[in-house]
Amino acid sequence: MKKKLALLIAGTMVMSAALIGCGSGQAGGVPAASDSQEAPAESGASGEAVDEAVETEETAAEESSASGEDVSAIGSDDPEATELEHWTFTELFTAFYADMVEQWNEENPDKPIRINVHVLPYDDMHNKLQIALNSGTGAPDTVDIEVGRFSGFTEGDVQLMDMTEYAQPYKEYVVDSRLQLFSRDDKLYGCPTHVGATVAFYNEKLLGDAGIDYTTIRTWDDFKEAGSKYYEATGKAFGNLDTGTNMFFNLLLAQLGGDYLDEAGSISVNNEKVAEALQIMKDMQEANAVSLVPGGNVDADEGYAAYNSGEFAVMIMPLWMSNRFVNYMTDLDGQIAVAPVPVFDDSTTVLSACNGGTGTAVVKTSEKADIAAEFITYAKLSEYASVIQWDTLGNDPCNMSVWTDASVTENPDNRYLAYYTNNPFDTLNAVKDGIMILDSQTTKYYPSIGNSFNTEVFNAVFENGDDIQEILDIVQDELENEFAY
Amino acid sequence: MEERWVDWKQSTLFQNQVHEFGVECFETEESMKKFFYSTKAAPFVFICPFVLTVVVFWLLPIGKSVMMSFQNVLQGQEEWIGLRNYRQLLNDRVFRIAVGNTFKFTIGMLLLLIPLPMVLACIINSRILKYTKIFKTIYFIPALTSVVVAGTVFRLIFGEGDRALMNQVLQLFGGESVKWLRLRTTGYAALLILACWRWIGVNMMYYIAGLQNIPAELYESASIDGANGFRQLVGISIPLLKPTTTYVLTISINAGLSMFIESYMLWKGNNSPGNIGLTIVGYLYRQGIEKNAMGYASAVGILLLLVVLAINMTQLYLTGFFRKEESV
Repeated sequence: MKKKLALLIAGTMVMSAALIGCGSGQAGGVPAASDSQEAPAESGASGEAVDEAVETEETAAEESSASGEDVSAIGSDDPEATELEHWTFTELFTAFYADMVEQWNEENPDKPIRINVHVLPYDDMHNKLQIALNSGTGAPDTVDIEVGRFSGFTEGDVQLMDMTEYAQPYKEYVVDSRLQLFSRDDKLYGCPTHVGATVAFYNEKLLGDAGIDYTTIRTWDDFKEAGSKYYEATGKAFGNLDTGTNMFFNLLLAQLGGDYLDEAGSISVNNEKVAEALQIMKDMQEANAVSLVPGGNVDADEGYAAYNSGEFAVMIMPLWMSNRFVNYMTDLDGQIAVAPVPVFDDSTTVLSACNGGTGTAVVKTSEKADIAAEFITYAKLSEYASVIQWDTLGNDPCNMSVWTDASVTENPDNRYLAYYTNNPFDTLNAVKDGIMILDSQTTKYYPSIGNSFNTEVFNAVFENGDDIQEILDIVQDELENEFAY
Repeated sequence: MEERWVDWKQSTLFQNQVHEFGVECFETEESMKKFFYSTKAAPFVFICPFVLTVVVFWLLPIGKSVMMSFQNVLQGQEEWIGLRNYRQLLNDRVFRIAVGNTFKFTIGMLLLLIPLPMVLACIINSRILKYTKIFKTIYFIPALTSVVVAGTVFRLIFGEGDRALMNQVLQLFGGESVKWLRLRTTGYAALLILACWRWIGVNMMYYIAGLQNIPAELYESASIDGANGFRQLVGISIPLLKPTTTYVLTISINAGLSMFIESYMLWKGNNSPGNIGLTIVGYLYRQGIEKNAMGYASAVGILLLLVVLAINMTQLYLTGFFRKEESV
């Protein structure tokens, strides 16, 4: 008997040792905080991962990685209520969904909802989702997918639900390019969280001290001139030049009417327009109108620090930087003005570009897919949702009817409005009809293109001073090889 | 009554019953014993947990990976594509960069992580040093620290700004700030420093254990013969540490070739500027996880497995691991 017991114990120990082995292997994995921060660099067009994460990023990461998963049940107590399982990678979204479910249940007493929000670390969540969708079991009903990872879920037999029909009631109010970003073949697979309109943030105080009036900057030539003047006067950097993210670059490329693809839709990153956009940035760098940001990305610790200490005066980034400004660049409170980005000339029709984002999707095979889609479109696209988005997260809301609603745009309690010297909604309204995306952003090529530019092209051109055409040709070959079949 | 009971106890029937019961008990135990003591069955029972673990967690996934490396894996679709992934891999410039980086890191690690811990272990094990426990602990602490935390701290130390620690040190000596993690050489150095900091204590522990197995008489007789400390190190310690060195070499090669997390943490992600910190495993992660090309990533994995096997087998063969008489 004793021997049996001893054997049993020995067996258990061996097994647990083996399992611990696996566990520590995974501890090699990474916590959400760094992942989510890493996401912008990785996907290029994203920035989202950190985007909404800002305030609770660290705590959320710690909590979710400590317990592996953090579940909150929100909504109706009604036993008849539809129960949705939702996955997200941002703790802050839990509060957002709590608000939305409450409002939904009030407005729709006949179809109450209860939502279980599972907060998982960034990579973990996307990887689990991938595996669940690939294998056909274990997927949630609804899920937040970061834009950089979105294309991965729209390949092959798409397991996400087409929500076009459900989004119809909101469509006319919502920024169209934002919906395009999460659509494939005219099917809407994800609902956006914000517009992510790229704007110019000017440090009014620093510029004023150097005798520069930002309101006179209309074209990129003006911008370059002002930048040189500012640099001569102060010896400090003017605008941002990132090597780790292509948000600024995408804007220039869109304004030039270019793209990473040719007209037939094949990869052509070595085309004239791309080279031209790079040359324009390079010229601005040589004129000291833009300078390399420490860390290669304004949307990261070193970037925030550089701005906060006044080493840079201008930032060309999406408006969701608002929550970074308010939380990480607190010394600039009351100094920053938001304005439309410069253009090339009066014929430029692209006044802003959508960058970053999280798309909320519904899993097609879920039994509750219909009501889930109805709820998600409501929770992400409705006017009420947009108000909550702006008030709590500082994201430029997708539903444009909010942009002219004085109770929102003039809200004296809003800390984002209080931070800026002017009203960001004026800028949004001014660029309203010119917010675009690149066609390539919705293709399967985009994650790879963004990756190549963020790791290789920008570094080669702006950091090492390599020949533009040469590096573009190399990357073109590389991408052609990747998508050769 | 009493008498009848005594009679009954003495009767053959009773004796037989008792005997049978005893035999039964004995037989159950015997058959268990037989089973466990049997030279045929027992070994299988004992290795069963290991074999099961290996089969379930290693062999099956490897088998599946081999299959996937010949497929194009998408959601709900698995398409057989023959050698396409491998052909693509051979033309992949970034993969070549990753391979180059990985080998550079591995070689760097071998050059640093074998001699240094060995010398440290000898010092700590010798009687010259007091408070050896404190030193042992200090060297071992990095192994217990989370790489995530360490990576973050190292990233800040090697920051670009003038206020980053390394740049302040440089300025102290009149140097200019360096963009540590953007240049190939400094990035490589930072990664090596992080890896050394992390592994030096572990390797040192192996060497200390090895040193303690060397009989003290050898040193004694050597010192009687007039050998000094250095002579003893070269003549006794290093040759007798050979099994330990073989082991440390093997695990260091593995650690070097499978390096990922250090690079991932140092550059805050898998995308270092100009791919200077990209490793093979990092590339596998980029393809499989970030780009959802599971089939292609499997091909990278299989190739890595073959390379590691080839290197380790050669190295173990050369160090005489497979020769029976020399195995320790």
